[in-house]
Amino acid sequence: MLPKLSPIIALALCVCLAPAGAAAEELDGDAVLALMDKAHTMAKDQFFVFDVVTEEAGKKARNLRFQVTLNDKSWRRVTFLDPGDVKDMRVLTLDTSRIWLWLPAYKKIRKMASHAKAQGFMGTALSSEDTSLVTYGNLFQGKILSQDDKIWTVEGTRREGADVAYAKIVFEVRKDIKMPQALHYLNDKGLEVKTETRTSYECKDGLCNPRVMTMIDHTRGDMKSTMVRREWKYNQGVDDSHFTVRAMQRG
Amino acid sequence: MRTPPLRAALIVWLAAALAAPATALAEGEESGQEEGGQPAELDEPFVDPLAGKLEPAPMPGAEPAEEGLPTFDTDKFQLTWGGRVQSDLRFRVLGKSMGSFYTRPEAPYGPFEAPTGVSRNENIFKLKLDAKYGKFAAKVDMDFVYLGYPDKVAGVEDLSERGKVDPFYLQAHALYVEATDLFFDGFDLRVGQQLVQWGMADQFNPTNSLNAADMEDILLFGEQMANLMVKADFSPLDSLTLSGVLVPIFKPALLPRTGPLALAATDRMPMVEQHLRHQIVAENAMVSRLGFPTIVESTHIELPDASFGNMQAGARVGLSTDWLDAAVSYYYGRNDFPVATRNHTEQETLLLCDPANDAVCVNGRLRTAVELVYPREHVFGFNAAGEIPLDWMVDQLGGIGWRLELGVFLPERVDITVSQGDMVIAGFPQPGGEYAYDLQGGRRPTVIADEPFAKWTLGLDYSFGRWVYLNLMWVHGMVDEFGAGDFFSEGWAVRKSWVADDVPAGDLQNCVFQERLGLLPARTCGRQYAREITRPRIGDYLAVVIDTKFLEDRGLFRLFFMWDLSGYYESHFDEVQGKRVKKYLSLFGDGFSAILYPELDYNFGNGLELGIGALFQFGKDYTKFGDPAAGGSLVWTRARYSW
Repeated sequence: MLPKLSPIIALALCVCLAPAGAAAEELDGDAVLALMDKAHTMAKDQFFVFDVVTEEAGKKARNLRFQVTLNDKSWRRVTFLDPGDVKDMRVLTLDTSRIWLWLPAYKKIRKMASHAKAQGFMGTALSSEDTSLVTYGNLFQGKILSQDDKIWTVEGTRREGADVAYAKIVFEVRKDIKMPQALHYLNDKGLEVKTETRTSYECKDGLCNPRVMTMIDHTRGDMKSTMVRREWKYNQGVDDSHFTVRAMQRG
Repeated sequence: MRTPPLRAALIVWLAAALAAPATALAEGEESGQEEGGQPAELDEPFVDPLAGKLEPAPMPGAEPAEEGLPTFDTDKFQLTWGGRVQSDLRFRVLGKSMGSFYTRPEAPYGPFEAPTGVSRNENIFKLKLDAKYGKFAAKVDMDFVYLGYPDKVAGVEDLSERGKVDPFYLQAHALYVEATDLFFDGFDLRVGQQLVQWGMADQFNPTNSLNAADMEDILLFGEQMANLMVKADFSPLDSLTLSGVLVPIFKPALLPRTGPLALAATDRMPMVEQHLRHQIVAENAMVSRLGFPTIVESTHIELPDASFGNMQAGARVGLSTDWLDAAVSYYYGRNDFPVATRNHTEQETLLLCDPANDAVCVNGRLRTAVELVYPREHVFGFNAAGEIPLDWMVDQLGGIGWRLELGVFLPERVDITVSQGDMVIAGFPQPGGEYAYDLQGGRRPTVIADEPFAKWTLGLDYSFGRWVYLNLMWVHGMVDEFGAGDFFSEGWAVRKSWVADDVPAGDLQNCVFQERLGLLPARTCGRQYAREITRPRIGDYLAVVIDTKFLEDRGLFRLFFMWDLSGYYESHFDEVQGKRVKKYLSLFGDGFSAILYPELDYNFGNGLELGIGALFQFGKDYTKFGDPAAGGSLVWTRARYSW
């Protein structure tokens, strides 16, 4: 007969005997997306500067530079820095249905209508909607397709009523940093229309971000935009008021 | 009490086990794990995939410039700048003229003209500066414009003046200082040269009353001129903004360069009173047939003086919700387009013959000096914008954007005084004095009635996929239209008036003289002989914009079409019916008036854009867009480099 264990020891044994990663294996797709979303919004605020080069077969590459500020509420402000024809254009995104643009040529704020979200984002392989996505669990229901010791492959299916064009996104989420290494965007017909990769991760103080992101649009001859992070600051104390139309108008 | 060693070891072990996050998975990975499972530090190999692809290439080893990047450090001064060089070259493909060989008051006489040829040859240097220091900021947006063709060079002396040979001008779109959260949170103050545009519609904004219209460049329709203002905003909530603006000095609208052609349109009587217009048309025609046509000798603009009473002010309450942006506004000031308030005519005796036909001469002219004023107005504005959802039809179908901008105008009444000096017509002396209007109560004729009227723009837009964008607008009232007159209340703008050529000069002369002598009832001649083409004072227009992007957003083909749907009417006396009749001029015939504005732009990337386009204006001379003063049809090119 086994001796009677005290509750603390029993609990300790349970934890101890559980194989490493068992807790993770039990995660369902939604939980993985939730982990990823949390990782994306863990910082109180983050600030980036990106260089973007968009390449198409047989055409001259195009450059773009922009800065992004985002906070833990998934609010995001983008300001274009270069080239001059888009310089000072600003985008405020509170969620996929609340996007405002500041058009410097017209000195006017315009709320982006949903019909415009499929339009290209400054000639890149990204759409305006792509740039508005910060978290995914609120828009997609996750289902684990497969996993190994490094990667969860999660199929995200658009939730009922979610304001997003993609029917599905298949995420390859790194287990070590809870961040995606690839996203496969599928349309309503199940075709992969875009592929995004995120590589060269850097982590500081528990915050991780890729230095390099690529987006390939398969519907446009595999047009490819490569984004390289040039600046990264975090937890600078950016107030929520920075993410308002009033603040965006001010610049 | 001592803890037993075994139990202590277990607790330590257990604490360590529990401290590790349940999702800590990695085997042999980085040291130090933060909450959520991310490693505290990680630095994966990075090879810059953009190396050699950026233009201009970054300096080797150079760190990205910190300047201009927001640090949210209120103690750091930040200065950002940008600019643009733009060259505009335009050609008028079909010249326009108004008037006759005698129309211009001084030699060389002749009609007012907008000739075929180069209509604009301009180089613009734009400089934009933004300085920010914590809550305070300053903004500069200046255009330095070289006109590219000599000004009026009258003599050799002028050839020594750079300003005449190589003229230029400066324009400040913004030159102001700004403080945010001044005194208390949510209170912003902006002082200086600025634009305050409250209208939510595209280009056609009846509630943008604070700044004057800038129509100098017709291709930039909807532009306004900055003016010195004091603007205060208070945002108690992110979604609610209360604004107040004070404009100390009134600034008039800038008119198109071809605007002076309208001075030849002496037949466009501004009076509201129809019978009086007809009477003057008949009398002018009679005098003209006697060799004394009417011309505009001069115009005098009465700008409001810089008194407290002439300051303008506006207020607005704006609300932004998830499904609707809306605002109400109020403005008290002046309309920025002038209206005539005094016409004084003097007779000139001067034999002038048509250089093209010596047999056609005039004996002189009735030279009219016109005084113009800017009428006061109250403008109550309402703006709203939102989206009509379509996802109830097809899931994920984007909604149709809509915008409504409504301005309700309460204008000050403006009357006109018409007078003349002593004249001799057909040998009969006419003593000078004020015109006998024969209006009820002895009042003067009205140019702007103090009746409320409305202007609005209702717009819908939609994107068809990634490449095609459609914008439809119903524009009720263009920026230069003022005064009651639409389908709510009758009011007409005269576009042309005349007496038919087949009316014998003797009949017309006899009629006018008999009427003057009281032998015929008043208003007889005008009623019988005057012909007029009119349209509602506030016109209706359909505007269509179709944008087609191509070559992955590099190219843009834009087609703008605007059709004047106001309706033109010709009125005259019908002998058979014995009364004046009004005939509707078909929108597809004599009443047709439209703009077609195709534009092709190509963005070469890295700031260079080239554009080519045309502005075709269709319609008879009396129509809105066929009016020679609108400048005629143009072909244009534009090169622009921005940084």
